[in-house]
Formats: sequence, C-alpha cells, structure tokens
Amino acid sequence: MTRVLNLLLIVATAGALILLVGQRRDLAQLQAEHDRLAAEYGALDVRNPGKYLVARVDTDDPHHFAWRVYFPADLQIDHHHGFTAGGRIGGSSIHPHAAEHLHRYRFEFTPEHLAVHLLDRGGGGRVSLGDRALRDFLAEQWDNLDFEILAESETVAVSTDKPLPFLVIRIPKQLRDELTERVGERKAARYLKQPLFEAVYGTKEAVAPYRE
Amino acid sequence: MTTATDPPPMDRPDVQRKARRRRPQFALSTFLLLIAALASWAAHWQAIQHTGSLRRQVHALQQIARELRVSDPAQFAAVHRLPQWCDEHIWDVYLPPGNAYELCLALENIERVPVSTTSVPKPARVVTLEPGRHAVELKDDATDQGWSFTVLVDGEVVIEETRPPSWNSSRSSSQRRKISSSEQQSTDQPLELFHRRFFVDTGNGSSTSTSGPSKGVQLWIRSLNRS
Repeated sequence: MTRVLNLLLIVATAGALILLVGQRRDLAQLQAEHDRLAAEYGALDVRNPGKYLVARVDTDDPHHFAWRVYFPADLQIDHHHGFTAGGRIGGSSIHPHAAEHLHRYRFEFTPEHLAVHLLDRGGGGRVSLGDRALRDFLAEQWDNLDFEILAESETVAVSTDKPLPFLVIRIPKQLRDELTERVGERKAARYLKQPLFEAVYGTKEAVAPYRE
Repeated sequence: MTTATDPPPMDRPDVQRKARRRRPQFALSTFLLLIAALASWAAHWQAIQHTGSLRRQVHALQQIARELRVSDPAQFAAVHRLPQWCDEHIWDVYLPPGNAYELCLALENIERVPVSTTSVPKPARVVTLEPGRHAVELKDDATDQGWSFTVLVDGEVVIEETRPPSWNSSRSSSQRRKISSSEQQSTDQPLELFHRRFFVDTGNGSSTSTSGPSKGVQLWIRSLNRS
C-alpha cells in the first residue's frame, strides 16, 4: 500500500515539475517581452479592475509628458485641457470594456507659437497659444516653469469623483518682471493670474468648474 | 473491573488492532513525497497565475506599442505607428514576397466605402513598391498657398501632389481607417491605409458630408499579382 502511494506521489511530483519547467520557459519569454516594452511605455499592474489607474511614463524630453492609464469599463470621464488664456479642447469618453492606453501631451515651439499636441487612444488634437514674444519667453524659461504632474513618482489608483490634474503648468511669480518686459503688463497679468496650461480629467460633476 | 493480572487496556491486542484501524500510519518517506507533490503543484498553480497576469500586461503593452506583427507571411500586414505628433501618419507595412505592389494616392472621387477590388478611385499618383517591410508616411498640409500632399516610403519622398486653394473650400472632413493595432489581410484585396473625405461647403459658413464621391485623401497598396 505504501509503495503504491509513494509511486503515485512521485508521478504527481514529476508531472508538476515537468509542467513547471515548460511554464518557466514561457514565463521567461513573456517577462523579456514585458520588460522590453515596459522600458518604453511603462508598467501598469491592474489589481482592481474597477479603479482608474495612472502611472507616469518617462520620456527623456522635457516637452513631452506621458502616462499609462487604465480605464475601467462603463466609466464616463470628461476632460478639459489646453491653455487657460487660449485654445482649449474638451470632451467626454466612455469605454464599454476596460481599456489601457497611453495618454500624452507634447509641446512644440513652432516659429510663431507654443503648441500642444494631445495624443491619446481616441486620436489627437492640437491647440496653440500666444505670440512670438510669449513663445520665445517660454522656450527660454521652460525649465524654470512650475510643473504639477499627476502620478509623478508612483502609480496611483485615483477616484474620478474629484478633478484629476494630469498636468498643470504655471509661470512662477519670480519671472513676473521678465515676462512683463517681454509681453507687456496686461498680457503678463493674464498669464500669471491662472495656470498657463491645465489638463483635467474626472466625472462630469468633478470637472464642471473647468468648463468655460 | 480489572484485576492485578489483567494487562492495561491499551496493551491488549484487540484494542491495539482497533486503534491501528482508526489511525492509519504512513512512512516518513510518504509524508515527504506528499509535501514535495503539494509544493510542486502549488508552484505550478502560482506560475499559471503569474503567467496569466503577465500575458495580460504584455497584450496591453503590445496594443500601446503598435508594433508590426507578421504571423502569416503570405498576407499583407500593417499598423499605424504610434504617432509622436497629432498630425503624424506613418504605417509600418509588410508586403509578402512573390508579387509586385503599387502604392496609390487619390485626391478626388473618394467614396464613402473603403477601397476594394470593386470600388477603386482613379489614383492621382502611383508608385511601385517591392516586397518586404516598409515605412509609409503621409503628410498633408493646407496653407494660404494651397494644399500639399506628400508620401514618403522608408524616408524617401515618392509622391508630391499640390492643389490650389480653390481646390477645396472646407477644412472639415471625416476620417476612417487608422489600423491602430497590427492587422493582416489577404493580398487579393487592396490594403487601405488612409481614408479622408472633405465636407462640402453649404454656403452659409458651414459644411456637411456628402453621400456621393467627394474630394479627400485615400492611400492604399494593391498587389499586381505576378503569378
């Protein structure tokens, strides 16, 4: 009896080990593919499928901001983004199935303007701000602006009942004199009064104050 | 009642037999083998969970990365590359060996339906493509000087078309076909990369789409079927 039982246990153990070896091989290939892609597009481990999840992705470009976003199924999200003193884009999105996508803002200094390209799963859009003087000022002072970046240091599971400021850019007060000199007092006051750029997501009620 | 000569109850053979029957005994080796079996199956189950989670993450990353994947080398494969700017249109395409191919650009008579063997607009320009992998890029621009359309293959300009400002009065358009994840299809049908139809100016400052052919931009690859 003991011999038969021992034999069965040896067979069961050997079977599990054989399967495990095969799995380890698959796992190594998957892990290598995951590491290769995650190095460029960030890693996002969704543990709670009902929670909106955001992780910042490094871009090596100070004008380019990117996040991996997990979007739960049937969640309606409104968004408002753009220059508070200029062009803005607003809208709403809902996914019947849970979805992950890359959400990006990329700033471009054209010869005459500062433009921002919005790039997300649904497509994209572009809005521009200001004139040549403001564009030159911002190009020179970009590293000295104040940046408020969502999930800057770690992945966050966030509630969309409150406004989610993905990116807020402000001109700091200490640049007031130089800004005034470059664009004039009236324009400078306008650019300093509110954020230069604001990208806010959330439920309809949450982002209502950001609607024009 | 027990007497001094009777053995204690646990030492009696009939009691011992009953106890053995109630509590089966196993050798130490069986216990060790049982632990080994349980541990190896637990590791197997854990690996299944981890593989499943990793597979979901890799799938999500592959959807985001938009890399060209060719599982059937006898079919077309294409994907719209992840754009770096909102107006960037670059496709990675794979053209199977054994055929010659043409890259076609049409700017007029664009139908609502995608290009097919039965619905093909007259191309404004056509260039030949060799089999293999290529990067196809479309640039379109509208300025006060007019409209310009440029197609690049592997970084080289192969098509340049311009139209005067009067060519189209409306900047509004509808656009279809992005190939946002790698797709494969038979070479029997043309591979449509881009399909945009301009709206028609209604004269009161607004514009609307038409049901008939319209101006627009359509870019596709067709096989010349050498065989």
